[in-house]
Amino acid sequence: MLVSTFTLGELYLGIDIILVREINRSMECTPVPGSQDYIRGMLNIRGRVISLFDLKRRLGWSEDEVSDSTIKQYNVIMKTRAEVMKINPELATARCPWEDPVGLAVDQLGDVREIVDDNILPPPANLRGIAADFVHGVVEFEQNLLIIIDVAMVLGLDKHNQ
Amino acid sequence: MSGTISVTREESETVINIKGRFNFEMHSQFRAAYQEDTGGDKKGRRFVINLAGTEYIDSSALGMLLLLREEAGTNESDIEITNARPEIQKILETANFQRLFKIS
Amino acid sequence: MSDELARKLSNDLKAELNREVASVRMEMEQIRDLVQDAIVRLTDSFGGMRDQSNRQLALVTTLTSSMEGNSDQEEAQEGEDAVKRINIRSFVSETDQILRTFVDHIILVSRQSMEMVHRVDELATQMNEVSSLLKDINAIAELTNVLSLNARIVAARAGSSGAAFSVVAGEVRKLSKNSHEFSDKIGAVVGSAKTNIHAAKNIIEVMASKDMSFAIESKGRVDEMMEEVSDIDRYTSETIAQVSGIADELNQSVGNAVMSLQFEDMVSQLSASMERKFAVIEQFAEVIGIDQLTDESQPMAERVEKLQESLNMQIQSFDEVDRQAVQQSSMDEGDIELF
Repeated sequence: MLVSTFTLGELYLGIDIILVREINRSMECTPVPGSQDYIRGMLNIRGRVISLFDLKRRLGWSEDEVSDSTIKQYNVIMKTRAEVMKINPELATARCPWEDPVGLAVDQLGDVREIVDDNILPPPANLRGIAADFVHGVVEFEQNLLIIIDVAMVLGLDKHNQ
Repeated sequence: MSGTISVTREESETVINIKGRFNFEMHSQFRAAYQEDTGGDKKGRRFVINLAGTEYIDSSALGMLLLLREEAGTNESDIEITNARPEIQKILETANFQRLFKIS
Repeated sequence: MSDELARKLSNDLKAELNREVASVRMEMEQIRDLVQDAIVRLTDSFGGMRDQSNRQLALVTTLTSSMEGNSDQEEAQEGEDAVKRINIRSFVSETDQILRTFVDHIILVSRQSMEMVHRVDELATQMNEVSSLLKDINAIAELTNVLSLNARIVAARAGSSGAAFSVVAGEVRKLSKNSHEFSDKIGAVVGSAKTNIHAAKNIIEVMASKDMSFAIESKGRVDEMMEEVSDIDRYTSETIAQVSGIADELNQSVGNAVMSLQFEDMVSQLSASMERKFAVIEQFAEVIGIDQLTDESQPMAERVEKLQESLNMQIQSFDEVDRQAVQQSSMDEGDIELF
């Protein structure tokens, strides 16, 4: 599968490219009063309103680590379940339970990586900065460990409960 | 520890007041003080360098004054150095500045 | 017998007279020799004194002219072969000139340094412009990167039919990355250029900034020295003028002394006159004799008359010699006055 990669602090993260709708440079968003702290606010991209998740806060990072790198970030906008369904119904059913447009705020953009499914390993026990629940699997790349995140879990949706 | 420069501009005259130490560190300030009044068609403007508050000058200040004279049009330039205290007056004399500037 | 005795006495008298005249003449000659000798030596030493006085005056005159600060043009005209006369005044004024040149040089260096600083400042501004242009380039590279990623996302949706498009998008991304790397490298070069500019400015500052109090102090010292030299010059000139005056007087006195020594001529004339007078006296002694008076072969009256005649002749001869001497001495005296 193809994985779109990015960084979050020291972490090297990836998301199945089929789940990604587009990537934007960070832009102004409207805060939502009374929402969870990891909801940074609402984005308006070409008339579509998108809930933007602050991925660092969602992963439970400290305030120092969060405010450290909010200046120049990117937004990874996810496809909706309906959009994924048109391309890959199997994937939509298995790993894309969200119906509304959402986005994740990340630090630096990486490349697009081709990954052989067999190389995907379960998360090691000593993984720091991200709870195993949020990890779909890891792939070792030269010096780096690419963590493929489980977007449904990150968005707070348990696909099995869906 | 360097000085400060203030400028007053009138119709045909620019007065540059220098307070404190007139040395190398003043070069940007000093140049900025006269730059917009020199060059091109600005020749023939009168400059007054008021040293009333100047405590010290070194050779770089002398160099700056010579550059001002040059940029103001050397021979057509009309530059007056005023109110220098005796020690500074002496330095100006030793440098033979009375031949190039009006000193009062 | 009495005749014979008288003749003997007469001969003895003549002999004694001759002996005494000879003795006086000898002493007179000694005096003359002594005087002549002394005069020669005195003349010599007065001559020497005059020479020395003249040399002294010449030396003092040379000294005076060298003290009277000969002008530069004069020195230049004298050429290299001429003895270069160094005096304190020209030394001090040369020192003043050197100081002036030194001050001029420092000011020139400062002026050029300040001009250089202006150029360096402009260079720094241009470097900042390059930096801001690099930011624009990076922004474009970043946008291109985002664009290429989005292109690959779109290509992925198209499955295998989007593979070629995905490759192109990948290449675009590489280009964006290269561009970013290049601008980073340029940025690094610009950064080190800025460091160098800063260092250059520091060097220029040292070059341009000279405290001028040294020049004021040195100038003051030179001016003081100038004044002191003027005082010394004035005093020296006065003293030399006095020395020169004394030398003139000395010369005059020596001249007078030398002139006075011309009496040697008179001495030799007088001694010549005395010589002639001695000859007359000796001749008289030869002519006259007691025996003539006692010669009884002649009548008494004839003997007396003969003696009287001899005496008259003697008086005449002596007066003749004396008159010549007086004539000569008065004439010579006139000569000495004229001399």
